[in-house]
Amino acid sequence: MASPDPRLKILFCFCYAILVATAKSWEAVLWALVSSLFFAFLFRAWSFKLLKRLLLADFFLFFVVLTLPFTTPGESLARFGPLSLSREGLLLAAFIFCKSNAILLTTYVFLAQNNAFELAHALHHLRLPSGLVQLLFFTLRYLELLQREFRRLLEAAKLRGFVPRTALRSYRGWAYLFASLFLRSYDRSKRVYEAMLLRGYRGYFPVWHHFSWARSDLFWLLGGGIYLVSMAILAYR
Amino acid sequence: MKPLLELKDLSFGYPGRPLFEGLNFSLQEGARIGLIGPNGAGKSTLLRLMLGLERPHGGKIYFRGQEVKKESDFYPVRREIGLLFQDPEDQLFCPTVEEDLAFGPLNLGLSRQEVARRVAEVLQMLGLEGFEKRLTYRLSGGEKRLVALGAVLTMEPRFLLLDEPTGDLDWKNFQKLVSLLQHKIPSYLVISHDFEFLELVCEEILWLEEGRLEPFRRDRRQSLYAGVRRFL
Repeated sequence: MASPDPRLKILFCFCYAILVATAKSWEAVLWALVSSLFFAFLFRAWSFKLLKRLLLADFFLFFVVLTLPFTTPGESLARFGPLSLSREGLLLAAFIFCKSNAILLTTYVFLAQNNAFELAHALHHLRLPSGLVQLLFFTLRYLELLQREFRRLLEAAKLRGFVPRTALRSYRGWAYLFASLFLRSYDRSKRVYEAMLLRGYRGYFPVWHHFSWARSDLFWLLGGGIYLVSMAILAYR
Repeated sequence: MKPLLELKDLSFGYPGRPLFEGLNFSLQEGARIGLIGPNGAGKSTLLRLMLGLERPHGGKIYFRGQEVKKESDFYPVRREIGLLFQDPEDQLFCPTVEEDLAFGPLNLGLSRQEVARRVAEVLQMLGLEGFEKRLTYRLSGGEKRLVALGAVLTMEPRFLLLDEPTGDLDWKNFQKLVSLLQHKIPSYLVISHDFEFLELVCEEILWLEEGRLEPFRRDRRQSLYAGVRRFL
């Protein structure tokens, strides 16, 4: 099965996230959660990496889920000293937890497996502000280069006896390393900009490769549309 | 014949480091010039001045007989004079090879048909057929250099400036570059520290030192080598 057009995926995830985040009914949220699990199976996205990423994101939710049951007023289920565990709070925490994981899972399934450049490209085709897309794009393009440069600098320092330790001498070493990385990045950004100027850049980034609409995309468009409408009906009933 | 670009009585320097004072130089179409000189003599800066990336402190620059001063005056200059950077990493900023080669001509407002023709032609000229969809950041050093050259060539410049183009080329790619310069590119100025390379591809070799440009004399090369031998 051909993978959907990246533009469709972005639009789908965008609508899905808004619908799920604003949904008021449990039916909608459970439906979203079940279908996100189904998407993960359909696109064979299950992997150790996926679970690790979900857990990492859930770590931030952890505190919300922990405090909400005690801070939301409502019918008391249990008391721990001055704290009272409320039924409404518990439900609210579960509600938020399910919502966030459904959204995370779906965006991961649809977007994280793409080439990041393809996504930036698709965003450009969706007429997002050119400046923002370029920012994303250049970050992606030069991140690896900077990482390599930093590793080289660090290796050069280590070869001259630099030991990364928590000591004042080490901190100065780190400071020098970061400073030279910043300077190099700045210089490089200047040179890249000049290279663009020399090739006629006037503030608009032209794109050569255009996505072509495949027949299977019609199927995805219909399927995605029906799904989103059903979600919307459930969510705002 | 009227020169393509002319520098008259040019002066320039960086803070605490004067480079040129009253420099005169011109680029003629059809010229194949080699530029050699000690590190820090201002070879790269000279190229940057020609394309308006640095502004001279004094003197004038003429392009096809017209004085160029403002940023917008340099647009046509950059269209007809291409520069290959010292580090190809700086020049390849698009995700794929094809996209990078198309960047310049698309900026010139050419039709997609014409852009496609130029991209295909340049890829063939460089022997890089099949590289269209390759990711630029995963190319090898030599391939990056060739693609960066291609990205300048799709602009179809009348004159090419090359800043130390041989650094990361292996023997095969080196030969490719030499034969390209000898047979496919009619006018260029190339900076290099490699005498043999310059003698292969240039009709005229200039020496830049202390802000002065003069013809490079073979006896200077001999004395250079003699100077090295003394240390051996």
